[in-house]
Amino acid sequence: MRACGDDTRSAKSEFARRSDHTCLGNGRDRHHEYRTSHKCGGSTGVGYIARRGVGRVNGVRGERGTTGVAGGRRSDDADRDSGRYSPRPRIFRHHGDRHRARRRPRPRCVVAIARSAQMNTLPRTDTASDQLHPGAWWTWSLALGGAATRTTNPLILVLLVAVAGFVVHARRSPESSRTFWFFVRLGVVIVAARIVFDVMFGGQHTGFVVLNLPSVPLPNWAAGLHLGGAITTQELLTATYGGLQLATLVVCVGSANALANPRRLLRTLPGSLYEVGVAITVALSFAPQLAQAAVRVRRARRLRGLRSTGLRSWWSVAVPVLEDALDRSIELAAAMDARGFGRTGQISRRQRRLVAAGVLAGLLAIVVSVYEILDVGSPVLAGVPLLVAGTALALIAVLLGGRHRSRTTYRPASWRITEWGVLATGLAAIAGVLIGGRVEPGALHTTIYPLAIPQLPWPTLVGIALALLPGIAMSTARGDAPQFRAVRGELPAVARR
Amino acid sequence: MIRFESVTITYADAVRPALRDVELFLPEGELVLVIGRTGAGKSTLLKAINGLVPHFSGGTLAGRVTVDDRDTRTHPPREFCDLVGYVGQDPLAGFVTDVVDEELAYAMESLRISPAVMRRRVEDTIDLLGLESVRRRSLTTLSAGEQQRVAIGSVLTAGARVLVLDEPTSALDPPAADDVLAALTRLVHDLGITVVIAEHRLERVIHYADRIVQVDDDGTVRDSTPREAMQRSPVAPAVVELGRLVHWQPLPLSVRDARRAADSLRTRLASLPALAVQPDPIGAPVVSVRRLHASYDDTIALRGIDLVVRPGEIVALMGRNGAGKSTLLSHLVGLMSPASGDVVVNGRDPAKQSAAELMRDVGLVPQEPADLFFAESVDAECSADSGSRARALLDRLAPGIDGTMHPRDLSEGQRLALALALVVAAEPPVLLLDEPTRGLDYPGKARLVTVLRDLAAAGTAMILATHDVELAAEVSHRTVVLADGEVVADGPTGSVVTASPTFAPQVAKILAPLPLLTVAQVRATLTAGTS
Repeated sequence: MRACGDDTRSAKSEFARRSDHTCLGNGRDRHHEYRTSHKCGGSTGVGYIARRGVGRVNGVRGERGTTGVAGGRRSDDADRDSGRYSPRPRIFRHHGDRHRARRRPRPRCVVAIARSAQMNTLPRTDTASDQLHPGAWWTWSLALGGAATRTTNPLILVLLVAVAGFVVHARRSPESSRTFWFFVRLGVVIVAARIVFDVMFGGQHTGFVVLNLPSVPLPNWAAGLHLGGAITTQELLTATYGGLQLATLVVCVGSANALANPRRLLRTLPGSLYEVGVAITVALSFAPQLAQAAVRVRRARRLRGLRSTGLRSWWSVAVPVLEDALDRSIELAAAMDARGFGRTGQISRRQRRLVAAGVLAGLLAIVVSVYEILDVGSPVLAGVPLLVAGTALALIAVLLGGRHRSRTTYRPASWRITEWGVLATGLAAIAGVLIGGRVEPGALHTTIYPLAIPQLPWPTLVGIALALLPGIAMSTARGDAPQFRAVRGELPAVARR
Repeated sequence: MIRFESVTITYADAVRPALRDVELFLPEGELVLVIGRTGAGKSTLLKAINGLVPHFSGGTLAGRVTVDDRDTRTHPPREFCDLVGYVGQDPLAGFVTDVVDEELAYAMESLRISPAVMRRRVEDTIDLLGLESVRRRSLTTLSAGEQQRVAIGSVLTAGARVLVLDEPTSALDPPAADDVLAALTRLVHDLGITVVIAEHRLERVIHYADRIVQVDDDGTVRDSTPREAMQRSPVAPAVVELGRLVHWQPLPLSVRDARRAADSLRTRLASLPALAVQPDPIGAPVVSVRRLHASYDDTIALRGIDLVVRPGEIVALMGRNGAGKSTLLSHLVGLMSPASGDVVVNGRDPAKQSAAELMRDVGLVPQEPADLFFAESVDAECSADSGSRARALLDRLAPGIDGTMHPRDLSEGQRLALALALVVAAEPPVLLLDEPTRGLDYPGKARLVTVLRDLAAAGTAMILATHDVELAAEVSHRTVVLADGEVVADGPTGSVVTASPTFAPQVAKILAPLPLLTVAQVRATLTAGTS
């Protein structure tokens, strides 16, 4: 079925031969790389993308699981000494580019599998957000969360959540939306729990009564608590505002998770903290494996006719899971050893301890100072000196420890002007909230007694609008890719053996 | 390239050495196959090439192992990472990162290779192994064949000249196994890499091998050409056994060679009377599945499955990975509830029963038999349910297991035997087995076949989900082929497996169009013809 005749590598041709695929059309040579008038036929989403000339295109999984793909890299990538793609989005890429070795441009074939019945398209997870340093996204999200901790104004909080949601949506991949919605649900649960607790145990019975619950008298030792009693709107609103604040913080952390995988963040750790990063990465992979092992063991217990619920069975479920985890960890250690882990760059024990102590002390100082900054009670600038000192200490410790270069990084993420821009928009949100509190005193904490409509000061609106920029700018650059909306495949949960 | 000089390896606390006086020289650019029974010491031999034995696993190494003049006594495994690449039995357990291209680059990071060179090597390896379509995917979402290729690629990028693989195709279905083996032969022939494989299922790989290293039970090692080794080896694939039965010279190793030599055999067998066909099992069906629809994680796993199994019948369930075999078995034991349709096992709906009642109706031996174990010793496992019956069955299946051993320390075949004994001890009328021959050597398979036949004769209905076409040909009455959640073929084994090239056993391919599936059938036809 294969119509294209161009394949220099036997590897590709073998796999291409073994799968049923249709050639979508003649590729173009390097001189026409950026033209969008590609004569790609194809009625599938893949062909459509090729016609639009947008972004990188993922292969479509065919029956045998082997596919061809429309994609590749620029010919001068290899010539440039860069370990990563340039920040400009690719308009069209060619598969397995070998141009650098040839003088004549050769037509490339765009191969894709079009099986509409079994189309199991997996959009690539490397959206444009993958090109940004993960630290930028994390600081941006945490800045939004920081802005949320300074206010209980529901309007501002809802706007912050909306901004986070919008940017996550603009940079989405299937995995990211799943994590983000998990955190949103967690936020809803937090608000609901707060309301229930306040209603049950709160004591404010003044104001407009919504519902009259019977009041349960409590013994003297629980004199501070009130059980039941009338539910008032004020009580409900206080609870909602409080819960909403925490929920917004949780959603901001969720957006950080969704925009930049924590594992990518761990890869950017400096050299002296490499082993710590590896330990955390392995732990992050082990946790879902433990959960899967527990599910398998419970099923197996059911097969053996044993109950798998109840406290007594907990031990008999835990033991096989732990044994399995132990076996896996030994196999992983053997594999890492065989692949050169711990090969070079052994710094002395004393130096390692000094680095660890310095980093810990610095981080502790940073945490305390950030708490002081974000705490509503204390003035904003009280914690800044400590923040500076803590950051300096941590940085010095890390740099001293990492002087001896032990490893190189594949695709090192670098911090460029775009990252500074993203960070600046996050800080703009905090600044907007703080300045808004100065401009309109009382806007940050909406009064409950008497009930008042929440106000939105204009600096806050401007600051939060600036925080939208990362979502807008990047999605425009990506060209509003329709394939992610049209073909939204689901990732299979686990690899099936 | 690889040289073993008087190597004796003894593990700590072991009574006798795992390998004894090994003298071996493996030149560059060969595909070496290491064969032997389970527990004979194949893994030890492979790990000794890399230095994992003794540096990682402990034990004593006497003698010298050198790879390209690098001695394993003085270099730990991490010093070998740019020369020898080791891929273990479970590639997923050896992955460090979570994305394919980062995994490929991991070994190079320790070697302090510059990022530009790393990018080039990753791209080359992706082209070489056909991983372009999965390069950004998370590793847990890949199929088993893709994971195996990623594991191979991750050790290749470091520049390894020797690849050591421990049972690379045991968990793969035939198409994925072919892909992996094709990649390995390409590496050997195009790049001159030395590949050392340990395998049980020889039928897939024997005709690619340039050299065979046979590890005997007492720890001695012999190396020879494939033909010589197969003349006298106790473990042999079906094509070699057929060759030995009818004394073909030279001994054919692949289906093509055997077919060329089989003209006279075919004419002779065609003239002999056919074997008596076994009568179809009769009786009311014990398993009845009607229009079963099931979905799993937002994908439709099964569409309209119909299945009927009668007492004493053995049904082989075959199909690609992900076709729905395990899902169907889960429905039959009530681990999952169908979206629509009904499942009736032994007159009752398995999803609605309690665990204790279910155990008396249907038993499932899962893909990972170790999941069933939770006691500290084999004796404790057996006595947990029904004591003597389980122990007796275990002794029949795998004789010589010490009762005080920890269940997880058993070999693959022994684990399967223990799991089977535990499940069968409850004497359920329906028995389900999920991939029973994974990691099982030929003698173990033969013992399993005997036990299964005895159980079927006693009236147990059995469903085997398997990739192993030889097992299906040997033991099953009927074969059901699943693809993409639907039943694609359902009929007597003889007609179903011979109709498809992927699922035909070797003897059927050699003797087509005769309806013979196994060497035992050929032997029976010949002896019946001469008597």
